[in-house]
Amino acid sequence: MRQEIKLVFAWAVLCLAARPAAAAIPDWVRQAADQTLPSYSTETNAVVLLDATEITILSADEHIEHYRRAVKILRQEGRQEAHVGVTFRGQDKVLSVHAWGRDSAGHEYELKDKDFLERNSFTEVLYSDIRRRAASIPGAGPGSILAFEYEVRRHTWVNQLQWFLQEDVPVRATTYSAQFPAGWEYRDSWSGVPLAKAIENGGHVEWTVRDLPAIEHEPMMPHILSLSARMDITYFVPGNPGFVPASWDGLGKWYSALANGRRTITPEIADKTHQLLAGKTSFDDKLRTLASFVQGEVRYVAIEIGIGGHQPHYAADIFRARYGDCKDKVTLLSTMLQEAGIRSYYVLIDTDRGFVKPSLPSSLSNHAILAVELPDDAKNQAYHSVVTLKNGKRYLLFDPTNPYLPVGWMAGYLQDSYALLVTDDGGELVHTPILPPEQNTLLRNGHFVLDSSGALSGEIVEERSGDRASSERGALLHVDQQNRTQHWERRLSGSLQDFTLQNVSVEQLEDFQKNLLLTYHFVAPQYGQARGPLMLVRPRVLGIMSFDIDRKPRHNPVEFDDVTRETDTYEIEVPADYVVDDVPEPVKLDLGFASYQSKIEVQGKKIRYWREYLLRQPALPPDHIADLRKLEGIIGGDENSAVVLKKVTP
Amino acid sequence: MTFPLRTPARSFFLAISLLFAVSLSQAADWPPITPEEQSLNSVPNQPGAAAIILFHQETDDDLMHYHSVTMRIKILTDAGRKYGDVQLPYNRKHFKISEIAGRTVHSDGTVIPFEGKPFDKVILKGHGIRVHVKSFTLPDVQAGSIIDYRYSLRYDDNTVYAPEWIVQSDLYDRRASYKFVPYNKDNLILAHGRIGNGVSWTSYLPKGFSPKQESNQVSTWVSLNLNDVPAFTEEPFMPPVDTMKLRVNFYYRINGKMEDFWKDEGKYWNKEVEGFVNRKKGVAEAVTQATAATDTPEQKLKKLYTLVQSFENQSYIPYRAEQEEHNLGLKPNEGAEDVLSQKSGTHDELNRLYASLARAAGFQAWMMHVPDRSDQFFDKNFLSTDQFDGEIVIVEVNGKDMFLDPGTKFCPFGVLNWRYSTDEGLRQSANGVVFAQSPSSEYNQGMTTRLARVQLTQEGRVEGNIGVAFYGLEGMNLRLQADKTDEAGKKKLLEDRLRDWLPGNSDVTLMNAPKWTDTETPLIAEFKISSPLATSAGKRWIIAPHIFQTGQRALFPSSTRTNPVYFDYPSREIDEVHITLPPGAEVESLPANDSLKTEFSIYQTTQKAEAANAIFSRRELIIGGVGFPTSMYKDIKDFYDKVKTGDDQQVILKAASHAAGN
Repeated sequence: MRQEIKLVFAWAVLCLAARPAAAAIPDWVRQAADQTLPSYSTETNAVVLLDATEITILSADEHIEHYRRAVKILRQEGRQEAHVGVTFRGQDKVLSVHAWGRDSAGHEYELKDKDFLERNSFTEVLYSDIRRRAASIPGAGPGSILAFEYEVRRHTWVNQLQWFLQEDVPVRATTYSAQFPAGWEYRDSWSGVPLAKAIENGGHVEWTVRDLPAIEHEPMMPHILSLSARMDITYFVPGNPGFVPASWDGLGKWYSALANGRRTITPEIADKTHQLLAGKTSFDDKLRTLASFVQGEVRYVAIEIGIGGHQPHYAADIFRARYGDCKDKVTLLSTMLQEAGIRSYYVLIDTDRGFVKPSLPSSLSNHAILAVELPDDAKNQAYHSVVTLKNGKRYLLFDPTNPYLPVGWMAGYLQDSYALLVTDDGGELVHTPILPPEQNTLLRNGHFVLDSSGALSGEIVEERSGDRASSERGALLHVDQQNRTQHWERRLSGSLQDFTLQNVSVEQLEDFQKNLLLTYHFVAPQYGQARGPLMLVRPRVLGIMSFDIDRKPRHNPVEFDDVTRETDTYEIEVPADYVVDDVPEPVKLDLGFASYQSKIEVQGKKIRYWREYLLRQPALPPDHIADLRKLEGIIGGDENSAVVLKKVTP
Repeated sequence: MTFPLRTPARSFFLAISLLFAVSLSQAADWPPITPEEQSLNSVPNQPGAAAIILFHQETDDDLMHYHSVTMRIKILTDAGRKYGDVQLPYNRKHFKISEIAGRTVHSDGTVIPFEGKPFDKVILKGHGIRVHVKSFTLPDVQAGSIIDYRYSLRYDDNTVYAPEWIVQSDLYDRRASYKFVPYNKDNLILAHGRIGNGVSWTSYLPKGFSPKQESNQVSTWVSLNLNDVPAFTEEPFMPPVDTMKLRVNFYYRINGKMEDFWKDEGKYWNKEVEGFVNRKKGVAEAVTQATAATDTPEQKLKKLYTLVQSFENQSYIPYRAEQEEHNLGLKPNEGAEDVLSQKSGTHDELNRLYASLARAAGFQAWMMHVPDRSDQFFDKNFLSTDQFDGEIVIVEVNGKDMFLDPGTKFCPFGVLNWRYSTDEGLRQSANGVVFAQSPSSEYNQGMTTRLARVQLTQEGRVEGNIGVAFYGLEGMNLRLQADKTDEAGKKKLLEDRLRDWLPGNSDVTLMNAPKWTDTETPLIAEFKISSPLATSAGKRWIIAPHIFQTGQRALFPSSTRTNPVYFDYPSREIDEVHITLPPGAEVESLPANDSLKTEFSIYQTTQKAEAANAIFSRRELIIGGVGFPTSMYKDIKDFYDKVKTGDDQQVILKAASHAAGN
């Protein structure tokens, strides 16, 4: 009998073990799930019920992060919230990770540590020590509750923490708290008006904010992290110089110390510098020569391990290997300039406008460029990307990572941004200039002959400068001739149908100091639309400046790629047996941030079309969206307008 | 000692088999660089190429359980320097990458060896899986440099890997040499516990090239030497990329003959299918409940089709973890009766249930094993059942075969999901398992019709109503997209679809509630719109009557083509537009009608004054095929260029007065 009972018991245990254990959903999840929610729009995918970060500072470079998150899915699209994970670096240690789910029918699920996979993606970074423990929570669907919790011991390089409060879904409650060792202090900084007051209790500080709206995704908008409300915390021991102060100057000092010794000149670097600069005496010549070398000869390869995300490699190593990331290229160029007697400094910037904020002195940025000290006699007009520090010294900003933009230019995504210029004794926040639209141009000039059948033949010469040249160079230099031809055919097909591209010539493709010139020769047999005695001819032969902008109310600023000037000048000789019968009215609109004008003139047998589009600002506040729509409507209408020719009776 | 057969073309290792072989010479030995290689600065027939593979060698040895790769690349332009970054994915659980060596040789002969240590990055780890990437970058790679690198990949002694040689990459390859030493012992256990009997291959190579079997006293191997392999080009509207690359697929075989292989595999598959279909408890009763004795054969089949489609289709829901299935009380389906009782199954399981129901209703019903032609095509000479992706049903009705696919959600009765159409596969029949062809759809089974009744305003906008109907596969595709979202999402889906067709910045509002789940009827959507249409021509207006084609680009702008042209399915579009003009406006000139007909397509337009103040236009476009060889590209391009020209024709209006702009 006892044996039989034993056997029955063992069988029962096996059966029980064969089933998944009941999910042990913690109380904090249940409490978050049980709250009454306000109503949300039908397009709201999910709502964050609770987002709570708790930091325990252990030492100057180590802390424990404990995170909790609970989300309710409202729509199918909210299912993506089920994909959760914790990101960590080489010296970090994930202490625990856990997730739970409760579907709309009340079934409960639990994921433990072993259920999480370590995932990474193939990226352009050759290697980094960033990893991710991730999983998909079961039961995700409208009405379900998902929760996630982890604890990580993190190693930090700077005594700062960042709290991004907003997401692309509404947040019901978000909390950030920090526990400091006795005697430590902190300072909190906000991106705008502080959204919460700190509640302090014996070294423990906590902030809570409720009912934050979602940052909706809209086309042509800034990065969500640039828009999100944000708080930074800098913590320190009063009087202890080992901590980075919460100031741009302090961060400058920190970075200066980090990069100390990296720009040491070696005989090899010196030799190469002198070899390149043989016969060159002017500041401009020296700068352009060395800049071209680093742009062209040093490949961009990112390898980021530990502090390597902040600290550049040694100039000698970069020079020998001939590759490096953005801060490495800056390091090598700065070293070579130093050998040439030109002083230069690191500039820490972010490629997303608005991410670096004056009120938030922070090490968080994703790019490094160079500030070259201008001689007193250097004229600003010669260079467009110049900033002036408080001490009156002028610096030319240059990005050696961009292989195609020469000295004096700056890519659109770096303009109108804040950046930290690391000086000899600290740092200063600068605001990068908006280059004039005339420095970033696309100018098209075309001459055509139209015959009686409506066939148009001729050529367009396209001249590009600034970013417009840089992007086209990038597209052309990476592909072979066949792909280039297809690239141009695709471009022309936006404005022409049934055309034959006879030839394209490219000039100054690899001379990045000069504008890029493209000449297209083509024939479009059915360009003019014959209508009995009439013929319709669209004078805007090529070039689409109109764009789609939806008509929903706008919440976020509109961000353009860059400021620019674009012109089209086309001359079309009409057939001998036709005269111009009707010409569209000229167009002129200036809205401040942008302007557009066009006119058509008839000179003998020639129609001359000219238009200009000027975009003066890289971004537009959301309350100006009506202006943008008006502009687009004018451009769209003008681009499709036509001249009417009439056949003359012999 | 048994060996599990490694399925070709599915391993992470094979993802890198396009990278090259290493000779087992000493690490310091590299083949000498010839003066011709050093001076090479362009690729024949590919001007502007960024780099060229000078030499590429791969050895795959299943006797010694290693693969080795050697590569030599000449960097021709700055853009080619990226080839100095090497990333090698591998399954760390079963493989080991070692003996990595590399160097850069400048045009002046300077040699810079790779002296670093490769990085080893985790891509996926957990649940018994470990996928890593070994990555390294060669030093000082410049335009004009030659880079050499090699590595070995070793695997467990009890494993064999019949390779897949993908001999074409994005670079021109001057000289490639492959060698495969197959496992030759008699203890190789393959699928269904059968003993392996040699190796075979299927090759997709240019004329004049084929693998050769060679041997000496010690071993037998297969070799392939190629010269001047062109770079692979991807183009829009081409067949699945992997089907177009030059390649050789190896596999260990049981039978040497193609017919014997498929006969055997057909038997196994048939047994498995019959085992599933004949587990039919409750099936006969379900037929009785779903159909009526007075139903015609087609009515019966339709009712059973509706029944099966009403069940949960697991192939179209997000992945469900085991925990979820347990909570829902779902068990694995072992037979048709399980699918019936659980009212839930995958695509193939639902189709098998349908076959079971059809048989119970008195029909001859069989299954057919087919590939998914969005991914691959069937080649009977490639002896692998990996070619099959799904099963469809064949029911004999009045002596004719009807191909059905209730396992595809929203697939209408009588239409196949295009992925399983127009291709060869294996089917059950009264004569056993045989090869067969799944039919192509008709163009009416992929049709969209659009009807617009709009008024032109004095400001040049058109306002009014548009109705759109999506038939057959068009309706199915839209329903499948909509199935992933809710009412708000479905509305946006349709409004965005119409907005894509209309002139930029149109206001579009869906006005009706389309029948999303009614598979057998077209999906009909009704809209209210306001759209800019008229543009200025001085005192006149011009309007594009084919409002659904404004802003569409030419489909084939390129003058040259490397790959065949490939569409998903035959299609038809019919548009009808009625535009009422504002007071005072009158038609001055209408475009001529178009009528184009080729062996594969029809394009027709009609434009006329409907009344003194109204314009009518009609447009029809039919594409009657799916695959067209490269030799037909000129004809296809010509046809589509004429379509675009016709679509862009404009009506000239005399306007009594109008405001400037839109």
